[in-house]
Amino acid sequence: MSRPVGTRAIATPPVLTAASRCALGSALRMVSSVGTGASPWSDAANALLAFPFVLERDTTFYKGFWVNGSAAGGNSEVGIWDESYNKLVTTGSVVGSGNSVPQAAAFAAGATPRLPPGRYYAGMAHSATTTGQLFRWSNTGANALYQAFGCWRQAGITLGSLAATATPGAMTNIGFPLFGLISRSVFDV
Amino acid sequence: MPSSATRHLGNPRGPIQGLAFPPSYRPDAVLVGTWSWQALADDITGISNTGPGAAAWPIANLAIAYPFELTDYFPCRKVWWVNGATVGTDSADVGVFTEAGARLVSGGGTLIAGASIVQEVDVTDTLLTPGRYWCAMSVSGTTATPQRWQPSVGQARAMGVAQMATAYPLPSTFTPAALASTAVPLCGIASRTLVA
Repeated sequence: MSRPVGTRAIATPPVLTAASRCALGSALRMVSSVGTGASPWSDAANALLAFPFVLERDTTFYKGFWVNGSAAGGNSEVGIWDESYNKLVTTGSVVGSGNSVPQAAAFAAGATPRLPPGRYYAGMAHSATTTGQLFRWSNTGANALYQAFGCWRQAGITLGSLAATATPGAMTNIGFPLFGLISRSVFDV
Repeated sequence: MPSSATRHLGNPRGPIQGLAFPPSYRPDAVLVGTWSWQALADDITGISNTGPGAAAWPIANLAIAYPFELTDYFPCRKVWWVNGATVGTDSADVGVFTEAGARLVSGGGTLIAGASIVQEVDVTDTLLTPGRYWCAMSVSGTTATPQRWQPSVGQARAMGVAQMATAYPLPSTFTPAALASTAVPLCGIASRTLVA
């Protein structure tokens, strides 16, 4: 069987998270594994946390998602920012629903972005610190690691009305939520 | 954001100061499995950070599939999985589906035999083109103990893993549904003979 020459770029994973090879990948092992149950949002209410990722191919993202813990609650919002922190698209503010399972939310109608290769950020904001459990990485003292990975944080945002341009700051929390972007249209998560 | 017009193969942001960058290119390995960089390598390590273990299949005739990507053309000559200690009872099937769910190649179902080995099944040589796929494994019963990861359901779903009930042998169409079991199979495809 002959082998034609292949392509020169790696396809985007259909489900992209901070652990994907085009994001932070297995470097997250340096922090911890993902807690699976009863960890609340570990940052201040109404904070936005983001991780960097790269695309080698044009990619259309249809939905964002996060993983609820044993007691879903609060409101969450997932979005994409470009390298200059310009907001490209978000899910809007969505009430947490469904315990211990992923929750997907479509990007705004007509706004499913087809992004060219480049560098981007995926971010998640949450409304509360005590309402709603989330799957997340957690390790006390890991702020510097998250920051070394390229993650950033913005406090005092308004869910459902995130600014057109984010203002990134230093990481101050001890946990990073498991959330991501979905680029397959046949099934989400 | 770079526009398509300014992109440069291997360097999406374009040449810098006149330097010509070689195109980025990483050929696919001789075999692709759950652990491969094109599949869940980083996801498993970064999210659940556990190794596989032998355990009974969660539900008879259940298919569990993980997503993977091919950068290169891949001649699929074998499908494979890894047996645990308990064999000789159930049968297994491994196959590749398009992201939309169309079956491209599968083993058709084979008795699980040979404790604690890689078991391969010859398939019709099929040239897979670069793109995104599902690799699915289905087992006919719950006695055999194939190797599999056991992240939580939420972790596995965040890796992109899905399932399909009543799918042994693997059907012509894989219809993904939300994973409900803590099982991510250790299986894959090969472009060469592994052990036969």
